[in-house]
Amino acid sequence: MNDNKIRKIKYVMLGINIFAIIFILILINTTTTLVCIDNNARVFINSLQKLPYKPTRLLILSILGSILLIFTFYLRQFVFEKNKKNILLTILFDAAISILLMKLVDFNYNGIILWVLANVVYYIESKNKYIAITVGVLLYILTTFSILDVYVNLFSLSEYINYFPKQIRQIILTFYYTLTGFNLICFIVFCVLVIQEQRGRINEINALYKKLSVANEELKQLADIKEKMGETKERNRLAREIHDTLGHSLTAISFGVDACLATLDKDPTSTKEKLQVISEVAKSGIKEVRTSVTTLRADSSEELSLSKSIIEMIEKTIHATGIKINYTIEKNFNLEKYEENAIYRVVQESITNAIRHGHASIIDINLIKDEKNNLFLEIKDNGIGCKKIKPGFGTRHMKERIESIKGSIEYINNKGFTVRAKVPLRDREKNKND
Amino acid sequence: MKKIFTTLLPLILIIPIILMAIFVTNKREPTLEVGIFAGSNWNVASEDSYRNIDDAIKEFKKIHPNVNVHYYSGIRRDDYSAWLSEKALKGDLPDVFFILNEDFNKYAELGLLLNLEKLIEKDPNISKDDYFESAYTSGTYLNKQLALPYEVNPNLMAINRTLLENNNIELPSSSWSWNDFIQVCREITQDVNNDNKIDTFGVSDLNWLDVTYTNGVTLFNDIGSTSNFNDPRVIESIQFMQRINSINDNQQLTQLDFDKGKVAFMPISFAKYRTYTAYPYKINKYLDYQWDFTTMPSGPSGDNISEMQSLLMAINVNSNNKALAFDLLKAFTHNFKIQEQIYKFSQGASALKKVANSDNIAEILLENMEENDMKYNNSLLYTIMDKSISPQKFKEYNECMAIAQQEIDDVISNEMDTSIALKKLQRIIQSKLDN
Repeated sequence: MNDNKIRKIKYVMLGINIFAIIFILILINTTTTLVCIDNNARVFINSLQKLPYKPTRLLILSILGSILLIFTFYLRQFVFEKNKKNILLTILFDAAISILLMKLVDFNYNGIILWVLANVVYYIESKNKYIAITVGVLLYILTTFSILDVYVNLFSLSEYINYFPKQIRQIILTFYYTLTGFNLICFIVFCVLVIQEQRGRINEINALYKKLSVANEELKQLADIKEKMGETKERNRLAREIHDTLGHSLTAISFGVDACLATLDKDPTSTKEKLQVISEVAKSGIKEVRTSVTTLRADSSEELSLSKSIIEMIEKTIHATGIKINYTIEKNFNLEKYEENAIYRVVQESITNAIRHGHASIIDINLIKDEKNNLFLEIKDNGIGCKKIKPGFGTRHMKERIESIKGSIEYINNKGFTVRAKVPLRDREKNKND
Repeated sequence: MKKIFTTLLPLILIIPIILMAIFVTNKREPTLEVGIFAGSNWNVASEDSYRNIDDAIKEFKKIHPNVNVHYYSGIRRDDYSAWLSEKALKGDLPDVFFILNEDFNKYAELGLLLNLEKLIEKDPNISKDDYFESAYTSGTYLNKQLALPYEVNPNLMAINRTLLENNNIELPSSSWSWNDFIQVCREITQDVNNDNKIDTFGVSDLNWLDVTYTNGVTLFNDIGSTSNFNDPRVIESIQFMQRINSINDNQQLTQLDFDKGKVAFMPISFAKYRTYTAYPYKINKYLDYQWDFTTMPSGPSGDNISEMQSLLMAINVNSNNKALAFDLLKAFTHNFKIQEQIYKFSQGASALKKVANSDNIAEILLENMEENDMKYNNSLLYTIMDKSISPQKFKEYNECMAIAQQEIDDVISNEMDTSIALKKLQRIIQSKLDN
C-alpha cells in the first residue's frame, strides 16, 4: 500500500522538479523575447544583476538534463531494482545532473536536490545514507538562492518576473511558489512514508522475534518434558524388558520344572533332558537380562532378522514346554530395529500369556503382509482365555509397543485368546525413502 | 530484456552527453562579429563612418587572412544601445564591439566584458603607456581593464578670437588660471550699445563639473564608495561658478549666444570644434569671427585639466575566439594607420600618444579647414589630452550626478550658501552610495 503511494510521489516529484527548471528557463526566454519586442532591452538590462548566458541554449540543455534524470529514474525503478551498486551509481549520476541543472538556472531553483535526497532516503541503506543525507542537506542550504547570491553574482528570476505587469506577475509567482512548495511537501510526505514503511518492517521483525522467543521457550520446556518423559519411558522400557525377557524365561522355567516334577519319578531320563533345556532357558534368560541391562536392547532380534529371531524363540518354546505352535512367518518387512523389537516382544509376550494364563496347548502364530500393505500379526491360542480382558501389565505393554510404532492392536477373547495387531508399512517405507 | 538494457544503457547515456558536449563547444568556423554603429559618437555629423571600420578589418585580415569578420551595418548611434542590449540578453553579443559610455558601467557590472589585462601584459606590442592615461583609464572598471579607447574627444575652451582682439585683450596662455579667466570675462562683459543690456559676455555653457576638474578634485573616489561634495576645492569651484554667473548678470547663456559672436569663451568638445570649423558646417554659422581654442583655466588647487570622453571597444567575455578578438581589437584601437585615419573619417582624436603627436595630423586637420581659420596647434591639443581626465565610472554615477546637477544648478543660480548646501548634498549622495 505504502509502496504504491511512494511510487506515485516519486513520479510527482520528478515531474515537479523537471517542470520547475524548464519553467524558469521558458519564462526567461519568453521575457527576453517580450523585452526585445517591446524595444526595452537597454532599460531592462539596467534592472538586472547578471544576465543568463544564451537563454535558448540553457533551455535546450535543461531539457537534455531532464531526459537523463527520467532515464536514470526509469533504470532505478524498473531495470536495476535489486542491484544496489548500480542504483548507487544512478543516484550519484543524478546528483551530478542536478547540480548542472541548478547551475543552468543559476541556483534560482534548488528543489531538485530534494529529488536526489528522496532517492538517497529510499534506496541507500548503509551508513553512507547519513553521510549522503548530510551532504545533500548542506548542499540544499548552500544552494539556496538568497544565501548564494550574497557571495556569487547570479541572475535572478524575480528580476525577469518583475518585467511583467503586476497581475501577471502575481499569477506567475503564485504558480511558481505553489510548485516549489508542493515539491517540499512531496519530499516530506515521501520521507514520512519511507520511515513508516521502514518502521513497519522493524515492527514485523520485532513481532517475529517475539514469536521466535516464545517458540524457543516452549521448545525448551518441551525438551525438559521430553527428557523427563524419556526417563519415564526408559524406566518403563526397562520394566518391560525385565517383564518380557525375565518373565518369559521364568514362565518357561516354572512350567518346565512343573513338568519335570510330574515326570521325575516315571521317566528320570526325559526329565533330565527337560531339565537340561530348562537350564538353557534359564541361561538364555540370564543372558537376556544382561543384554537388557547393558544395552537396553533386545537380544536376538538385534543380530538376527525379525523372522529368524521369532522362529528361534518359537522353536525354543516348543522344545522347553512341549506346546504345539503353528506359525507362518513372512520375511522382509523392512522395519527399523526398534520396530522389529516391538513386534518381537509382542509375539514373545503373547506366547507367554497363552501358556501362563491361557494354559493353551496349541498356539497359531501368523506374521504376514496383508493386501493393504499392513504388517498383520496374529497370535491365537486354544486356551481358556479370560473372563474379562483386564488391562494387565502384559496387554498394556503390548498396546504401548504397537502404538509406539503407529500400529493398532486388538484382543479377542473367544475360544481361547487372540491378539491381532496391524502395523501400516507403506508410510514407513515412504519415510525411509525420504 | 535486462540484457538488452545493459548493452543499450551506455549508448542511451552517451547520446545526451554527446549532444550536450556539442552544444557546449558549439563548433563555428572562425568568424568574428563586430558591433558598431553608423555615424559619430560625438553627436556631430559624420559621413564616412564605416570607412575606418572596413580599413581596420583589412588590417586585421593581413594577419589573419582566414578569419571572417562580420558586422551589421545600418545601426544608428541612437539605436545602438538597445541593439547591443538585445544581443546581450540573448547571449549573442558580438566578439568585439563598441561600448557606449552610458552602457559601460552596466556591462562591466554584469560581467559581459573580457578583462584585457592579461592579454595586454602578454602582448609585447601593446602597453598601457601607449595611450593617454585618461583614455586608457576610461576603459577601467574597479581596477580591471575592460575596454580600450577607439577614439577620444577632449573638451577644449573655444575662443572668439575676433571678440578678444577687438577689445585689445591678449589671447590667454595655455596655463592660464581662474583669475585670468575672470579678469577677461569682466573686461569683455559690456553694454556695447548703451541700451542697459549687456551685449558681450565672458563665457557660455560653462559647466560646474568642468570647473571642479580644473581645481584638482573629483567628486567621487575611484570605486565610487565615497563622495567629495563638501571638499573645500569643490566648494571653491562652485563659488567660482557663482562669481562667473554674477558677472554674466545671472543670464543663462547658450551655445547660440557664442555662435552669434556675443561670447568670448565656450567649452566645446574637440569633435564639435572640428565640425564647426570645417566645411560644410561652418559656412552657415560662423561668418563674423575667427576662433581658436585653448585649455580650461586652472583653479587654485588644480591644473588646466579638461574632461575627455572616449569611445570604447570591448571584447565579449564569452567570445569563442578571444585571442583573435584581441587582435581585431588592436587593429581598431592600436593600429597606427587606423588611428591616424580617425582624424580623416571621424571627428574625434586618437587615444594613442604616438598618433596624436604625429605631424600628419595637423595636415589632415588643416585639409578640411577654411583658410582663414587655419589655427591648429597640435602640441596644445596634445597637452590638453595628456592632462585630461575621464568621466568617473561606477554603478551609481549617473544617478548621483543627476541629483547633484539639480542641486548645484540651484545653488549657483540662486547664489545660495555653498558650503551649507554642499554639506547637505554630500550627506544625500553619500547615503545613496552607502546603500
